[in-house]
Amino acid sequence: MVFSVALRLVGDRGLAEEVAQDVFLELHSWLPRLESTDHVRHWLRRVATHRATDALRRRKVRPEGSSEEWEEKHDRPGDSASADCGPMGVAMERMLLSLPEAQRTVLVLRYGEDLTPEEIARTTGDPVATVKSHLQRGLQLLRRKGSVVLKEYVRG
Amino acid sequence: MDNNERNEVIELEAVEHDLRTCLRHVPAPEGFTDRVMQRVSEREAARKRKHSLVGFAAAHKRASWWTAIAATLLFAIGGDMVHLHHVREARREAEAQQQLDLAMQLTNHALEQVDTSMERTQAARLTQIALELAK
Repeated sequence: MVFSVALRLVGDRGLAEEVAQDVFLELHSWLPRLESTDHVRHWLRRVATHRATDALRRRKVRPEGSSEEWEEKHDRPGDSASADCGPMGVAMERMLLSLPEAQRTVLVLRYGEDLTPEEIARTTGDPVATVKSHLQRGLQLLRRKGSVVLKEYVRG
Repeated sequence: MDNNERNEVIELEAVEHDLRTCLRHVPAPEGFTDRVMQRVSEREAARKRKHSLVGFAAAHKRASWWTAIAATLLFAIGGDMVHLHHVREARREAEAQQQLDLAMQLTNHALEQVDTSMERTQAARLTQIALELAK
């Protein structure tokens, strides 16, 4: 879960592993203060989300700006997290990484972690209304990008 | 709901479906747990080293405190001894002054007696000279 969330948010396996390791190291220190399995799970999701966002900002890695790297990745399907989802999965991963950070985060937590908007709000610390707004805008943006990709796919 | 809106809803549902399908959990890379555990061990070892350094620093600090206390005591005792020395000196000076005063008083008294004696001698001599002149 931790590595998966980190990977979906940062889009880089190396950086995702670094983030996930840091999260587990932090968990090692926090464990005595966590009361239940659910508490641990919530804590892991929250810290993984925050640390991934911090890592992205720190490294100034903007996946939408590194299209060449993504082109290379698509040539090697085994490297992609959604490779076995087919071409549409790879395209979806690419489109997701091109979304603004806040929208990408709520979409990953909603559809990757199956959290409700309320649970996402508790995880990110944003109001529920903001989360719902990010979800709607993110889905709309993905739909528009998807239709462009589909047209290119049909044309190509 | 017109056709466009209906199409939009269908497309959004398709996007949601694709997201659910493609955003499944990705397993952590091979050896991830070992690497985390290694980092945990390293951090624990570093923490122990830090604790031992802190212990040494605390002992050093305690030793410093004892040194400071000892130095303060030494200064205090030394100060007392200096004070005692000053008191003794002052007392000795006072005694010397008293002895000097007494000596001066004795000398004055002796001189007064000499003066008196000389005055008597001179008076007697003058009387004798006056008697001789009267002859």
